[in-house]
This record gives sequence, C-alpha cells and structure tokens, in this order.
Amino acid sequence: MSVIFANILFSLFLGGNVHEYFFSHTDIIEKENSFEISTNIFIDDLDNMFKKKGYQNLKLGTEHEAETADQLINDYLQKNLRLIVNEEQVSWDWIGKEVSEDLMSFWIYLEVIKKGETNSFTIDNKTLTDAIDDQKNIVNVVLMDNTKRYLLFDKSTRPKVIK
Amino acid sequence: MFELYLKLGFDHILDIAAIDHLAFLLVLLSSLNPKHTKKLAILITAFTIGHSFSLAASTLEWLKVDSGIIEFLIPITILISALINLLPSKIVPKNNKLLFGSVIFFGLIHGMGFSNYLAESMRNMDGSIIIPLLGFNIGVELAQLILVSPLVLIGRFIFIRNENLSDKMWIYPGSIIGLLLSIYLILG
Repeated sequence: MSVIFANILFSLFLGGNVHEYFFSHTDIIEKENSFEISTNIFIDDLDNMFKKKGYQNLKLGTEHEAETADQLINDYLQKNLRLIVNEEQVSWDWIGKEVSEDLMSFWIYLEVIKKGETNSFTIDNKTLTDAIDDQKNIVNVVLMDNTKRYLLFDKSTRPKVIK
Repeated sequence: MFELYLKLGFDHILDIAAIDHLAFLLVLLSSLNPKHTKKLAILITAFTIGHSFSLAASTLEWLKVDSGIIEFLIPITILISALINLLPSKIVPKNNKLLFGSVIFFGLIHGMGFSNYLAESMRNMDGSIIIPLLGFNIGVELAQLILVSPLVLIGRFIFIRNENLSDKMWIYPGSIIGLLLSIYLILG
C-alpha cells in the first residue's frame, strides 16, 4: 500500500518518473562497413546493478558522474551484450552516451567495424539480468541482406542465431 | 515484431509477477457454476472486450490515466469481485446486470494495466504500434484461454456428474484465494 501511494505521489509531483517494468531496447543496424548499435537502458537500474557490485558513488546521469562511468558501462556491456559475427565475438568502439529526454534512461551508441562479409551472426543480451529477475531486453536487428528480427532476451534465454 | 509481442503478452499473463491478473481470472472463473458454461464464457468474453478496448485506447493515447492509480485499482477490482461472489445475496443482489457490469468495468481497468506494461516495452521504439498492440493483445487472450478453459471443462465435468454438489463448492475456493491475494496486494 505504502509503495503504491508513494508511487502515486511520486508520479503526481515528479511527472511520472517511476518505471515499474524492466526493459532495455537495442537497435543493431548493419551498414556497409560497420554495425551501428544504439541501446536504451534505464539509468536507475544500471546504477543499482553497479551498487550491488560495490560501486557506490557513480552518480550516473548527473553532472557529478564518476569519470570511470563510461568505461565501467562499456566493460559491462561487452560482457553482457554479445555479438558473435563469423564465429568470433566482436568488440566495438564506444561512440558516446546521452540522457534521454525524460531523464530516465541512457542512449548508448557503439560501433563495430566490420572485417568482411557477414556470414554468420549470433546475438545474446543479458544486460541487467544479473541484477533484476524480471529484466527483459528487446533487440531489433537489421542486416544488409534485409534480415529483420525482433528478439526478446531475459534471464533464461540462450544466444540467438540470426544467420 | 508480432511474434515478439505475442510472446510478451502471453508471458505477462503467465508470469507469477503479474499475479494480480491471475487472481482476477480466478475470481472471475469462480463467479458461476461451470455447469453454466455458456454464461461463464460470455462473462469471460465481457472481461476480454473490456480490457482489449482500454488496452487499445490507452496505447493509442485516446485515454490517459496515471499508471500509479491503475496499479492501485487493480487489486481493488479483485477484492470487490471476490466480495460479490462471497457475500450472501441479501447484501449483494445476485443479478446478471451487476455481474456483467462490474466485469466490463474491471476489464477496462485491467486493460489500462496491460497498456502500462506494453508502453514500457515500447519505450523509445520507432514505428507502428498497431502490430505490437495486436500481438500483445492476442498473446494475452491466448494465455487467458489456456489457463481458463481446462479449469472450466474439468469443473463442468465434475458438476454435471454430481448433481448434488452445491454451487458454493465452486464459488468459494477461488473467491477466497482471490480475496486473500487482493488483501495481500493492497497491503503489500
């Protein structure tokens, strides 16, 4: 009851800055020479996950954000958002991140430089499932050969082979 | 995209975290002796019409109610429905109008709850919302059908075979479980 009332009060006064469900959304678009990745993740979920791992003072998304934040997020994503192209897990360049309009989530931009034709493509997205049981990660993949897939990942799903 | 949202809708009903929807279905199912299968089917259809309408209306932003208020009202719909089932007919008249009216109205509230979930899943996504909406709604209905129909059919079988079984044997267990769950959800 108190939680519900707190939620109601919170949303009345702060314009609804509470989210009840746990989703991330990622677009992966293949271009001539690269894969462009943009991923949208709730800031408070990311913050809570890092707190559980012992990083107390990252102040994500604020003016006083820790300098190490980008590096930590990037390392975390590399472990959890895995792209396997031609049987090899790829790494990306961190392009940048920005706070969404409603101030609740980050948009994180990454770019993978392609080494050649894409013969096989497998993806897994376990982001935040280590901290949140109900976390669901939606991934939209668009490849050059016009393969389009909407995928749903959660705690128990396995990596998905697209190609 | 359709498949993904079909799965999201389906999982959302079967998910133990969405126990409020399960509890409401249980109470709804308990409201009539399963001998009256047709009437029960109409009742469940009424709930479906209610929630499909408000799911669509709030997803398309024709209807806007604060999500905190909806989440607060949902357990109350379970509580009231359970009380309608349980209280003696002196206090709550057992007529179809009340039953169907409340089910359609509560369906509207649950649909807005579904829409909160759907909206969060579509946060910052481009493109059409019609396909996700359709997929999600059909997923919800499928899960509901899979849960409800075996229970009704088994209940029907038992109650037709045993003429002497009182309606209460069907109405009370589910309604009491629903009542307790709703109190738990309201106080929780």
